[in-house]
Amino acid sequence: MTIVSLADWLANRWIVPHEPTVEEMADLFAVVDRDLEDAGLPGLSADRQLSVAHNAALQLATLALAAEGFRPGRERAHERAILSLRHTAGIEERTIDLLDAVRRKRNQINYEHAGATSAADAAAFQKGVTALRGEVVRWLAKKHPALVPPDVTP
Amino acid sequence: MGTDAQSNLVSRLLFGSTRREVLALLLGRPDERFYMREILRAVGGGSGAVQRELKQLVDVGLVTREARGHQVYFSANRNAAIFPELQAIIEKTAGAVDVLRTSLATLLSEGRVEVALVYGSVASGKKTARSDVDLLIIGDVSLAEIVPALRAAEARLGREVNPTVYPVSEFRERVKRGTPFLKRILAGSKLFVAGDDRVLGRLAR
Repeated sequence: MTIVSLADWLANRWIVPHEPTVEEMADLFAVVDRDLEDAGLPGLSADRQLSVAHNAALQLATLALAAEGFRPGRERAHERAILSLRHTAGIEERTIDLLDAVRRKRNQINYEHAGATSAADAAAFQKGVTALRGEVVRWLAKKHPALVPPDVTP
Repeated sequence: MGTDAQSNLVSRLLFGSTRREVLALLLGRPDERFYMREILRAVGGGSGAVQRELKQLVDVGLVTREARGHQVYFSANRNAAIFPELQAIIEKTAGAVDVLRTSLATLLSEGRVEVALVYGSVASGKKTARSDVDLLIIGDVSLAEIVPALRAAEARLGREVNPTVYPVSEFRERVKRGTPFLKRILAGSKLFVAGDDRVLGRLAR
């Protein structure tokens, strides 16, 4: 079955209805900004830098989905949150593929082995998630302006 | 002649193109069964040629044919006497390695990959239906370039491919530092997609 819209996702119970609030958005943006800042701290390993930046991306996906009135269902919640970025903020497939690959990699580097991330990839990924934040904020301002927290800018 | 080109020629010599593709699909995903249209789509050959190959493979017991209602399914016969050996040959010459080499063809032709190798359960022959393909790439490439290149391979193999990518200098530094993950890869079973043991040894020094 090819899933082509959030309505299909809902019918498939991959997502469930959710009532978004601007306070929730502010909390999630605070998590995103903390993680993006932490990912740039000097002395952090490349593995940790990648993992923390991915958490920022995951929260961006979660808040975009929430703004559309949904949250992920119980199963494969992280994977579906990331993949939903295509149907929420219209993020291009190439970016989503990379976010999903890093999601899988994060399981490896957090639980299986250390040292599987290059410094260049970690830095590039952090930069990519910062750009993603900008895209999500611009989309939110256009599609759900009432949900943009007052102090959040692209 | 490098190992890459050799492997490819060996499988072409042994199997012929259609048989090679059919075996790569069925033995590469031995826990799955496929109906004819799926095989034709994956293999990409003419339907007559594919049907002939399947009939011959069923006749000698390497492939199982199962009719259910109006559908006929084909799958690798794990009970065939030479199943493990044949699967190992296909894996090395026309299986995951070949599929990955095709997916990475552009990056390989640009000379930006020094070594690409499969490690873990696929390389050691201990893979299960749920095993991912673990891929190590050393060269002047990034994870962001590798991931889209691997999409076709993942679809073809029916498995996720987990790439780990290092520039040469960082790989060397991490080997020198004794990173356990890399020590294990260097000491374990490997299937080379690009480069060989000699090149890997040089990079690790």
